[in-house]
Amino acid sequence: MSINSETVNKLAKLSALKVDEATNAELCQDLGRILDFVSQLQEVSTDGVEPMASTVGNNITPERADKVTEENNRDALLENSPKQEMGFFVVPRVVE
Amino acid sequence: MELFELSLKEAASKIKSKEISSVELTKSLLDRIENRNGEINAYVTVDRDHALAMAQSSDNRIKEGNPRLIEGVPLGIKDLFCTKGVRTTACSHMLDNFVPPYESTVTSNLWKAGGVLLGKTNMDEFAMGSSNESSYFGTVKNPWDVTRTPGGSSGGSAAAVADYQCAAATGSDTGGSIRQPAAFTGTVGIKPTYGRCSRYGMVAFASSLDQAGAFARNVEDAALMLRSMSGYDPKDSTSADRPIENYDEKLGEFDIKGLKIGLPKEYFVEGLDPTVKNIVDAAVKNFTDQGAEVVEISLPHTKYAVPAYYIVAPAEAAANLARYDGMRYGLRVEGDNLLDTYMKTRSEGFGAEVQRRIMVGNYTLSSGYYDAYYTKAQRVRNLITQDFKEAFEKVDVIFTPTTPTPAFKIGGKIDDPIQMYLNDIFTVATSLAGLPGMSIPAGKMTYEGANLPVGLQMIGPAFSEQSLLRTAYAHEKMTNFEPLKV
Repeated sequence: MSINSETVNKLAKLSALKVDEATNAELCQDLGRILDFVSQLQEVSTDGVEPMASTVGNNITPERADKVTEENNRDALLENSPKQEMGFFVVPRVVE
Repeated sequence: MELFELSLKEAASKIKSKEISSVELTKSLLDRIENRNGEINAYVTVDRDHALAMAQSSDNRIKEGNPRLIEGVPLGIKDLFCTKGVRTTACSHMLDNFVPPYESTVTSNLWKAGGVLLGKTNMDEFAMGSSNESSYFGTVKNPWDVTRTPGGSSGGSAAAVADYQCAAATGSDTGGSIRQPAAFTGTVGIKPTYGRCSRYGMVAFASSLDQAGAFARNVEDAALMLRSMSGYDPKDSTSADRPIENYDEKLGEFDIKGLKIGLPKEYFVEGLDPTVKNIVDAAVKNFTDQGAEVVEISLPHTKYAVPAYYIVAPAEAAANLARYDGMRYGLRVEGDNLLDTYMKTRSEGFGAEVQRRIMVGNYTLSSGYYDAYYTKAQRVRNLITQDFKEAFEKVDVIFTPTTPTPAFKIGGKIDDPIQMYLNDIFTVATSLAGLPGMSIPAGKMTYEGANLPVGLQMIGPAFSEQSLLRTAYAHEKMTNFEPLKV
């Protein structure tokens, strides 16, 4: 399967990644080969087989009570943010 | 004999009997790391003061006559388990300054059992890789031959254990990331049943597959580690509410006679090194000599496990890694506007393999392709799980080689993603089915001129860790594998 540079650009956008021209050419090839490889699955007959998202049975994963257990640790959480001010995350302008 | 050579069990027992102190042992290991890390690169963060403070508090507990299961023994922790106050990076530039404000459940359990945080071990970036070459902090060298990879993604943990830079370490396994490096470094690696260990505080790669586990130099230590780290956790909705056995006890109480060992014919195929096959055959013969029965079985969808995995895992990764936007934590690279900041941050923060997997994931999840790729892979996953279910109606345990060959050269497969992916050929199916799997040293061989260990993989039914560990222990007793010399 060939992946063209337009598709790579579309995927980059979906993935919020910047892809320059040289990388785009490499990705056309790499992603094409990976998708070729995984396309082997098309030969498997899966009629009537349910998709399986998880191996865990519901009967062994009890629900917990929906209540807050964390104390207020705002300052500790903010410490890892690239920019903070007065107890808030500072982010680039969102509305132009 | 140096203190750093002690096994987990020996060390815990000597500390308990006050023959040695935790501080002495911790210092010995810290010095060992200092001497060896330049060459092996197994650790990415070692906080000497933090380690010695934990060791001191263990020594205080001993004085009070109140020791716990692994009191005072220093452990290597794969750098994707959040450790409160100690940098946790998943070996990505994206997180290279991240200091977690909370503790993962797995490490929290280990500290509650008396463990000491020795250091954070190197790994493939976000656990995406089979050779440790995708780490932002450089590749780990295999202590058996430093021109070779220790495997991945838990390569740092495996190398640290093999090289006596800790007696035991945590790992995580999404498609083989514990078992393959264990095989490559001559160590014991166990990935328990999905749900045994909590994922809370473990940096996520592919949530339906990620499972924590352990490395050690012998089966008993691996059992002790697993007992100390696992257990139900209300903070992880996929955590299994099933009792944890005292895995390290009564390991020898196991009757080989009548044990039914399944050998799946799909695992003994072209591409499997003949010497690896001979070593696995010899291990099987040890069991049959003691009265075990060999049953040839078929896991017909084995061939499709790698392609199914490389749809499911990247799809989940693409979703999980969307959180790295440079806003609340991690790297931020300022751009012209919000979107530009996101894109610059993610392009600089993620390495090439991680970016590739995110894009593959978004391709298979995108409209028009979702059913053909993602849903299809989930259906195949169901078939793979059914294969194992049927097999375990006939056998107690499945034996396979862990990897088709011993450790390959650093740089040997990095330019070819498909070759790298195929390295997981014997381990991914177990992960897709959520089953427990182990790799145990089975022998050594000369491979491309180097003397290297070979791993035997044992796979059991869900929640069969206890009998799996007992089977592994029996194998260990019959094999006399000589570990790496100091």
